[in-house]
This record gives sequence, C-alpha cells and structure tokens, in this order.
Amino acid sequence: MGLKVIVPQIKFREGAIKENLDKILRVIANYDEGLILFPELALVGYYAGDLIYYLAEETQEAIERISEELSSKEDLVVGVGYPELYGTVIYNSYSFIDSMGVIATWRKFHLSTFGIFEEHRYFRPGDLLTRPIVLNEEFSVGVAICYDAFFPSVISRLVNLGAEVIVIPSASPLQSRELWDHILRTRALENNAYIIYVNHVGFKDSVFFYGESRIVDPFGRVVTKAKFGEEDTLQFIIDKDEIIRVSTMFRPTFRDYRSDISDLPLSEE
Amino acid sequence: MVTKESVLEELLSAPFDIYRNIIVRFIRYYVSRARASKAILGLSGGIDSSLALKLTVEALGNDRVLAVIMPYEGITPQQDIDDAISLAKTLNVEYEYVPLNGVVDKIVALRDGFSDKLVRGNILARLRMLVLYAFANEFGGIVVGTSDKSELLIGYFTKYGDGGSDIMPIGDLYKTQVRKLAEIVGLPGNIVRKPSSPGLWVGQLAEKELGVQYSDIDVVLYLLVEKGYHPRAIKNVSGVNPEVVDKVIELIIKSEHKRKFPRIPKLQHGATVGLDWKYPVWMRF
Repeated sequence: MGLKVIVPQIKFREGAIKENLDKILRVIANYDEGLILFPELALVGYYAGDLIYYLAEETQEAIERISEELSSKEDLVVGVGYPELYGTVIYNSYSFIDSMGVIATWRKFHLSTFGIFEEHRYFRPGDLLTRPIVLNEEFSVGVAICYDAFFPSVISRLVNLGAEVIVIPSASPLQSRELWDHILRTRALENNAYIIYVNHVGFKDSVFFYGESRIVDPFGRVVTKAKFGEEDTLQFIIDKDEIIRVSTMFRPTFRDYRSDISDLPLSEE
Repeated sequence: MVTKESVLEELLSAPFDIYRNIIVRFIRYYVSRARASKAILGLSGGIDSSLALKLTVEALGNDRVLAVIMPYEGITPQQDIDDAISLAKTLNVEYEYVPLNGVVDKIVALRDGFSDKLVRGNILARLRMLVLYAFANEFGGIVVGTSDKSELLIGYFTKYGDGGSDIMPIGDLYKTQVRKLAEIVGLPGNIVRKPSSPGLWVGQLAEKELGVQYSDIDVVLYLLVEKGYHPRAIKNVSGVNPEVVDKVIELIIKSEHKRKFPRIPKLQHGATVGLDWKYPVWMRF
C-alpha cells in the first residue's frame, strides 16, 4: 500500500481568505483518501502585505472549517499553509489536518526577507522543531517551508527523526525557478527522501509565481511535475519499496550521513 | 572577466521567450482583474510604444485595444505618424488620430514662460496622458504605459505625463532588450532601428539630449541593479567610461522623486500612504 499524494496547483488570491477557503473545500470534496497538499500561506494567498495582521486572527476558524469538511473522510489528510497567531506573535505555519483537527504543525525557521519578500515584517521564526508524522501506518512525513529547503539542516534533521517524505510548501516567483530545479533534486538525493514541492501559481500583484509543483524521488529524479504558470493537479502514489531500494542499495546517503562532523575536534596539524 | 561587451551580451541573451510570455499573461491578468473592457495605449511610432502595442494585442486580441496617436503636427516627425498608423493597420487595431496642436497652444498661451521648450514639451506629454485617460473613462478601459526600465531608472520621462498609466508591461526591460524583443516579435525594421526620441520638440533625440548612448547607460544600470555592483566597481569594468557611470548615477538620484508616490510627512503610528502602506493590488478583505 502506497501513500497517495495529491497536489492541486491552484490560484489563491491575496488576502481573500474566504474565497481561498472555498477553493480548498471544493478540492477536498473530490477526494476520499490520501494527502492533499496546498502551498505556503495558501489561505491568505501568500502575498497579502499588511493584511496579514488582520488575517492571522481569522485562520483558526478556517482550519476548523477544513477539519469539519474532513469529518466523514477518515482516510484524507490535508496540508495547508497559513499565518498562525500564537499568543501575541504570528508564525508562518503549515498544518496537517484530518477529521479530528490539526494533527501536526510546522513553523518556518528561515524567513525570506530579500527582494520582494518581507516575511520578517510579519512573522517570528520557528523555534521548535516538530517531528515527522506517520501517515498510512508506514510513511513518515515532515515539512520544511519554502526557504527552509535552501539550508540542509531542517530537512536533514527531519530525516534523522525518521522522515522519508518531505513536503516543501512554497511561494516562489519566476526568478527562483532555476534555484529550485537544483535544490529539490539535491535535497532528495542527499536525504534518500521523497520531496514534494508545492508552489503557488499565477500573479500576486505584479509578481508571477511559476507553479511547476513536483515530486522528486529519493534518487533525485523528478517523477511528476505540474505545468508552468497554469493550474494543474498532480497525483502520485509514493512507494515505500522504492525508498528502501534506493537508500539501501543504490545511493545510501542516509545510511552514510555523518551528523557528527560539525562537532568533531579539529586536528592539531 | 566582466567587460562592457560581456555585459551587453548578457543583456541580450535574456530568456526573451519567457519574458514575452510573462508580459502577455500580466496584461491579461491585470485587465481581467480590473474588469476593463479595453486597453488604451498612446502610440508614437517609436520602439517602446510599438512593442507595448504588439504585446498588448497578443494578450487581449486586436478588438480590445485602442491605439491613440497624438502628434503635435509640425513637431512630431511625419515618419513617426506614418509608422504609427501603419503599425496599427498591420496589427488590425482600432486607432484614433488626435493631434494636440490646438489644446497645447491654448495652454502655452496662458503665460509667456510656458513657451519654453521644456515646459511646453511636458505640457504635451501630460496632455497625452489626459487624453488617454479620457478614452479609458469613456470605454471602461485601462491605460497601458510604454516606458522601459532604462527610462524609468534614469528618469527620462515626464512625471504624470508618459509616467502616468495603470500598467507598464515593458517597464522591466532595458532599452537594448526592448530593441531585441521588438526584433523577435517581428516589428518592422524601421521601427526597430529608429533612434529613441520623446518627440517633444523638433530634432530631440534621447541619446543626444542625455549625452550618453543607451548601450552605455544599460551596461551601467544592469551592473548596478541586476548585479549589485557599487558604482565604484562599475568604473573598474573594462570598456566602461567612468564619466558615464557618474552621469547615470546622477540621473538616477535626481529622478528618484519621479518613481515615488508624492512624499507625505509621516505624522501618525499607522501606515502612511506611499511610505509604509503595504497592501497588494487586487487584494480582498
């Protein structure tokens, strides 16, 4: 039995939480099992500017609404990104939700603040790592949000905690396209993990988000990829045996990884 | 090693097919979000407005574009008028011919000082904007600006004149790239090769007025903006004239006000318009 992954690459509108929630609910209605993954800050359309301050107060209700929609769908899990108001701070968060509610939440550690990105204006960086969660009894899944994937540490740690599938919800404009082509394949290969990249698509203000959501296998091969700049849906069944074969026989990077290198004493010479 | 030639080569080897694709999608997106019926564009017969028109037609189809040709007869070269009309016909778009002599002369007559070349030129540029918006209001359209990135950065445009529009589809392309893309999309050779001119007075040529060639300007701008070079470092690039660097930097600094919403002295805690007011266009509460 594999893990069915569904990536609806659809347009989310800036600030339009109600409209975006409706879109999410409509997608959910089409499926009964698997893991449906929406992109980073999907609920608020990512590029919501200072609306984030208001919207963070409304996301909890939307999350509850999603869970409600899943009440009759026990085999369905939904991943969605949103600004999470926690006490008096806001995190850039991503939660897995099922019929019982939120089952795990990951917070973005590396906030993008360069060029068009101003995440430090709104969010506090994540301070606790959430361990991977087991889905379908045998698939350990973790999340690294967008820019977190540009650093080896978050994914590497999740993999060391058992993750074999890494979800990377993202909001990437055209200018980052080439970088992702490299980094996604590298992260998959160096960790013997499936990488699921979930990007926004279409314009936010005058910035074009290019889509091309994709799944990369543990050998670094792109097994399926959504369209450039268009709405599209990916469906793929992740095969446990493939993970095992690659990471035992062909390129066992996980087995060979030395997490102690940064702590080794320096030689005297 | 970075040289003037290598930078020019890089400028001209940009992924133009993708740029074209994104520009066309953007026009379509914006017009649809604005629920506009038409795009209104001032067509001069020069390279920028010709390329902007071509791409707007690609985005919306020929029946949702209105080209407005607004010469000052006697100042605007007849060749430009002919090229503009001929391009509108080739692309099969509706065009309006609106000479501005009468209305410019009326305003210039208000005051002696208004007959100065520059004052008068800016009046002409701003009247064009006014006419374009009148058409936009009449048809429920948006005004498509035609400035390119080089002009925007060195401030070679009239504030609220050609600088006044709703979108600027080619505003992230340098002048040399505009020429290249114009060639790629198949604009007529005489338009592609025509020297740039705002056409605000007789014999006005951009490179002559600026005292610098666009290829030199673009090399400096590209290194500064796309490559993050300090002006000092740009001067060390082989083939680049240090005086040109100083000139370009000076133009950028002097024109910064044109690229900003009018400055407002900040008084209160909440966001101030044009300063720290950060809402996306087409958001929804």
